[in-house]
Amino acid sequence: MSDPGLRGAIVWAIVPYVPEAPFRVWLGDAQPVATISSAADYARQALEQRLDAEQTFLVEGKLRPVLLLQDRPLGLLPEIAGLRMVRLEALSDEQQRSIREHQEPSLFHLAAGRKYGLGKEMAVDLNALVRVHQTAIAGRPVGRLDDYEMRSVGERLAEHLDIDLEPLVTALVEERLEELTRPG
Amino acid sequence: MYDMNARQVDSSQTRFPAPRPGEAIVVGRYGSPKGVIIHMDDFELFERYRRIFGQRVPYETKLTGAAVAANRLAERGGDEPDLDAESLASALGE
Repeated sequence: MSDPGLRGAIVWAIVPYVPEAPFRVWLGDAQPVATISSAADYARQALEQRLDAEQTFLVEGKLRPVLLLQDRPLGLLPEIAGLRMVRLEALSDEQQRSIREHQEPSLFHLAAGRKYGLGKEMAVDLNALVRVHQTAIAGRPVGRLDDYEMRSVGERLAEHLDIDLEPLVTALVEERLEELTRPG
Repeated sequence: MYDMNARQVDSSQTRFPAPRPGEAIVVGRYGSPKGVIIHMDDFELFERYRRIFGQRVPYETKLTGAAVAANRLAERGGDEPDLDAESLASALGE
């Protein structure tokens, strides 16, 4: 059987939270953790050359299930785009029902069970795009979305990211129409 | 760019060849194309694209309460009171 690839795979991966102010910077073993109140403050310190070339930021994160969006057949890029998933149980009954009935375009419902490899009911969050390094993936995929489901996720994702696909699709439609209407 | 409107015509009032999905029938007269007949499935796809492209408002303005609540919860790990050990063990082959 051929390798199904990474696109559509559900994996467990280390996912850091998005850094937000105040930023915590680790300055070394013997130093207290520095707190920088804002990105502008950080920029000023960089301009005044009070910072090293780069810093080690302290960012929280955790091991989470993630839906991978890309294949890496050549292994040229170790980072893979994915979507974070969310457990349903902490949401209200009404919100959970709405997700199960596919009334929430931002939340793609995944039932617990063998297909998706989940012990708990979850949803793919279309508003939670993440990048995962290959080395941050724990073990092998536990489940998978099929091609149809991935097309639905992809279509919704383009909308959620405010990506303007019009020029691309217009060109494809024109190309297809030209093929269809070509005499003979 | 103009708005596209769909006009309903009863099939008893006109006669036209039935298109298959994926087929465009170009109707012409004296060698000049006058219109195109496509299958309803293709028209629905076209309408879907129009809905996507017709909107120029940020998607954030359409977010529901559930979408925002779920996102905020998961961003700080509040949605997972415990680890899904069964699933994680399966990832590790245990």
